[in-house]
Amino acid sequence: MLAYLARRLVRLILSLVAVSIITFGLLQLVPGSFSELAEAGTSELGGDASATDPALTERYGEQVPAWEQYLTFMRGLVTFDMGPSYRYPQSTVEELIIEAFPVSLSLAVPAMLLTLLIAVPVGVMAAVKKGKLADYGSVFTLTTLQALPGYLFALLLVLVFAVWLGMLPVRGWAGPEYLVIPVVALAVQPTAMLARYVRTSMLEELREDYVVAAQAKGGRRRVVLVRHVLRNSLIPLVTVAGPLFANLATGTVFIEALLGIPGLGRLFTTAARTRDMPLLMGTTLFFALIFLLMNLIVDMVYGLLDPRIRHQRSSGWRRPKPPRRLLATTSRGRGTPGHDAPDRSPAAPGDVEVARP
Amino acid sequence: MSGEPLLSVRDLRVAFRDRSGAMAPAANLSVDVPANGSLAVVGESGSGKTVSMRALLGLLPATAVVSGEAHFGGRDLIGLPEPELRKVRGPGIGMIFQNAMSALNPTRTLKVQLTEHLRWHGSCDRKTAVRRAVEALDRVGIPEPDRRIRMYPFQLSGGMRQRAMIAMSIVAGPRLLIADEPTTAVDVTIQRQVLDVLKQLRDDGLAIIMITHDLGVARYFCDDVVVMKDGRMVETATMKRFIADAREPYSRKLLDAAPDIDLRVEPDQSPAPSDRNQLLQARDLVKVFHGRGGDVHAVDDVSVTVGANETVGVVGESGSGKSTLARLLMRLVEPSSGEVTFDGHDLLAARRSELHALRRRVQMVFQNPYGSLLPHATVAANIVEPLRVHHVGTPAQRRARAVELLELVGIPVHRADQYPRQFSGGQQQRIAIARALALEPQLLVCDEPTSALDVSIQAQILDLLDDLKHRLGLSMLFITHNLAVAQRLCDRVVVMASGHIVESAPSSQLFAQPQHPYTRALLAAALPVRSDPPPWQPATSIDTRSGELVEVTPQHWVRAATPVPEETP
Amino acid sequence: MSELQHIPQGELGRGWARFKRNRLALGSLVFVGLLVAVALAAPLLAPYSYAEQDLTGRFLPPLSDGHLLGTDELGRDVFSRLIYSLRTALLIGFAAELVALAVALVIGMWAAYQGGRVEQWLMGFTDIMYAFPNYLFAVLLVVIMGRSPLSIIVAIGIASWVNQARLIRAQVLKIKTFEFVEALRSIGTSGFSIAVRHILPNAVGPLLVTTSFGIPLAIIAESGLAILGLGVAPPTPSWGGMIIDGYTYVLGNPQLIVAPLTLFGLTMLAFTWIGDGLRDAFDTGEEDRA
Repeated sequence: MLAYLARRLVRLILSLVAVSIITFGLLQLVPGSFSELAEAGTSELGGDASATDPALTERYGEQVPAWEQYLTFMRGLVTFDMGPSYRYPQSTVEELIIEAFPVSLSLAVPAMLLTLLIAVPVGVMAAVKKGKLADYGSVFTLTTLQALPGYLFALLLVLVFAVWLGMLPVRGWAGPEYLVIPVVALAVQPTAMLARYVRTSMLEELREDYVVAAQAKGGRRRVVLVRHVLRNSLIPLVTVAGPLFANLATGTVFIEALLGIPGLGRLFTTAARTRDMPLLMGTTLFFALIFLLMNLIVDMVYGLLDPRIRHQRSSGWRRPKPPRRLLATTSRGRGTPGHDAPDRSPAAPGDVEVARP
Repeated sequence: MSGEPLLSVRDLRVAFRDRSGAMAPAANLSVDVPANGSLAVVGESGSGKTVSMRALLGLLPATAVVSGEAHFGGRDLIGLPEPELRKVRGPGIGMIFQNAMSALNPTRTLKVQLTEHLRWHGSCDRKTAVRRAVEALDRVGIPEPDRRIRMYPFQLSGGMRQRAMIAMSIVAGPRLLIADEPTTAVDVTIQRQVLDVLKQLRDDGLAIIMITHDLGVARYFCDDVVVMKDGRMVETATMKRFIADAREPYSRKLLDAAPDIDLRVEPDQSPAPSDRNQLLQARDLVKVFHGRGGDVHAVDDVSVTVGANETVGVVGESGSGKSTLARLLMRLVEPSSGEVTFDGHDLLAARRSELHALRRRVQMVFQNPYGSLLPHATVAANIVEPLRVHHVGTPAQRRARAVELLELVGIPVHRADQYPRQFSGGQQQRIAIARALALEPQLLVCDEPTSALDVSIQAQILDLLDDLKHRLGLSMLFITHNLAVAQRLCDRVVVMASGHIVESAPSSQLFAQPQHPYTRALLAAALPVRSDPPPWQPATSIDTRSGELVEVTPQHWVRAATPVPEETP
Repeated sequence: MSELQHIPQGELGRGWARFKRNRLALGSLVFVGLLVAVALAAPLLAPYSYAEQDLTGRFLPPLSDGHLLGTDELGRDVFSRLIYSLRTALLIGFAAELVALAVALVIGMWAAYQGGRVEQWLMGFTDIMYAFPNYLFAVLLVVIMGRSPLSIIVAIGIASWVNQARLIRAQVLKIKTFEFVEALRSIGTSGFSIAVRHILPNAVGPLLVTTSFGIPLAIIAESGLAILGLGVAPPTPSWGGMIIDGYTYVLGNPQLIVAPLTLFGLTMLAFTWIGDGLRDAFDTGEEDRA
């Protein structure tokens, strides 16, 4: 397990480095010299355009070659000293991120909770009532809701609750009432997606013989559903919920821009629009870090929840990879057990009569 | 058997309601099962045997409409309210399934799954429940039950898993066990072990209903039999009478189609001349798969030959390497070492164009006919695909050839432009055979071509292959797990186990005088329909790896750790 | 079962026959067709130019004289702008999805087809791209390439191929395990021919589904970029632009965002229902089969 964790951490760091290189490389293509950009950044603030921060010039000035700038930035990243941003020379990149992250989190956490609280019961209900009106109705509603992006939903909510009913503020960030619209708007699409996922996952488990077996042992349907089916179908939910949360914590870009919320999304947008290289690099890497960490956590938790994965890892081999190299006609000397190995089991056709609708 | 039957089913009818409300009848059955009795419910897929048994316990989906009577323990199970019915499930009637991998929840330990229903039924406290579960595991012959009870299903071997599932269904102490194809997914030797566990349970007083498509299993295990077809009961009889004198034509058809090993064959004293022209020769083939868990020797040092007009059977259980061997010979999988020559050409050294030319002369038939046909092409297009690939003929000529081939394998020519999915499994396999014959190959490699099919269809396909073999002068390499099938079709049989050849002999010789203990174990584990099963004792582990292949009589090779086994009487 | 004979049995034909029976999906398809027609005929249908300002007639309410949906803060005709914005949305939606699909097809098919080291490298690259959350990469690219429609198309396309490449690879890998691939190899069919003539036709259903879900996502990205101020340059109208401009005046003139919002929402629903219908018709999705 520890070896597995170490391997994953190495991969995470390599991925981060790759992301930083790609981002930095792309930024080199941005038209305009450093001093222009730095001036543009400060002047948009209304600051003194001529007085470019000497600290900035030293780090990223014209005479400094690109690779050195990159190394400077990466050194800053590791030592947690990324220096000032172009646009806000008074603040360092890490200060800006630390300021904005809690704002985004205060949207993401309630939105995630709301999502889970609604999606799981709805998904379970739809699966249990499969083929009935309640199932069709909820699947249709979920499909419809899933089609609408969060920012459209935010606008709808604004029109109803802010413009028409006047109950909530239109935009801004000044108190708990400013949370309602963005949180609900953020939660809608994930809720719809997750509920459908729960439904599908439940239906898949319901097809397994162990459900009939548990009922044939005399289990109440409800008990069987909770003890076996729900439990098994919620395990893979982790793999969806993790990235979803990472998305919520970072990907509120459009809603934050629309509703004027000073979160990470807006920080990134501002950085992008003003081509604020240090801030852009900082936020992008921060996003990537959250994503990769979340994926790592998901995989670890998944291993803890599913004994099959747990045992595979502790015995040192990973999930079997899908078959490879099937098409190449000359694959001499190489092969994986996945495809060409073992004999088909001599199974005769089983009765699948029950599955017939 | 006198007195009240334990279970008495009268006019049980099951139908499924579809979305429009129309009813599709699925089963109609009347049977009695005496206490301590054993009833076989026999039929091919879709005959309604599983549906009717699940209906007894109310385990069908809500779209099922069930009527009739089923008296068990003084009560009519049909229409019994759910809470009452639950008291019957488990403590009254237990159920076991075809595939333990699916019937056991993969994420819960055996302990949870073997004890939870004892708690549901309030039969005993937790401690007693665990003790009873351990006893049940012990009863089905699982060694070290108190250690294994803490394991997850995937940590057990196939046979062990199957037995753990049986333990799960008997731990609540039922009087009747419904076994739904309990041995269909396992190898013959394990099948025999599982059946003997069940037999032991029956001797201890448990009545058993065995749902099966395999008449050999039914005959070995059951006193009575019900034959079902298309949801209807065809015949019901005692097993003895049924075997000796089945009354219904369908029953007789099933009996005739059942492949049986004939162990009383006279060994052919004049084996076919050994100087046959060798078409395919494989020498010292090795295939190692490099898995994460280490290297697996799927095929280890195997040499086979197939002569002109000869049919060679390769027999083995799952994991014996027989399918890998077929793919090595076809060069679908590259061997790790060894050599294969076809009619003098080195197949492994062959370059792309040379290999392409050689492929014309060797064709293959696969296990799963639907999977091996192109789903997006018509039957005719499927059959001419090899001709197209090898640039044979004009489109019109190819079409004519397709028609000719369809006639040859017995598919109505007017259906040439339909798609494979519109045909039944047996027809699909005929089409697959037609495709394999399109290029007029000299050698046909068949990988379990009948094991995905129902018994009666299997017999037809075997007849077809036998017929084609003689008419077209084909050589054949026939991979199968079924010794009876091999005996029926093959001139020579090669027995494989764990990647090695353990024995190889002319067919008549092998079945009359099996030499290697593994071959004997295989033969003994097989369950014939028309004769009594051979004596059998649980196999101690047989060494299939060590030793050299020794020619004991002409053309009869045996892997021998200890030299020269004595003559069998 | 006799009616089976009348159903066409080719992959596409069969899918289409089943798709047709789904009224919601068919209606959505007609609706999208209508939208495309309107977008193409925009100069004929729009009563005004999208850029024509009339500072004396600002914030006219809907159904005013000559202005069906009123005018905006610069006195431009909202109805005309809406019709032209459809052009922006559909052009960028379709084109960006085309770019994404092309990249995804090449990378997904190549990885699955070639296997081995190539696959490892390609999928490793895909994993790295996956670490750029959401539309971040599109934002970066627009910043670099500018706000022309072409660069927006390329930016969105490049930012959204990752998921589709994974889907395509998974699909190809699945089809590769079907026995018919082995059967074709045993016949002597070449690898390329197997991939193009036999695997691709079996992946048509999933590809169509992917595309029909990809287009609305691209439209969402395009409007999102406009909300960030990175959409097509004004005065060219886009839904996102109209929304963010109108949002400033939402308390007094909510009608300014209601119009684009409604059209946007309906378009999203139509594409989703088409996608859903396709998924059922080709029996490809994660959804249940009876």
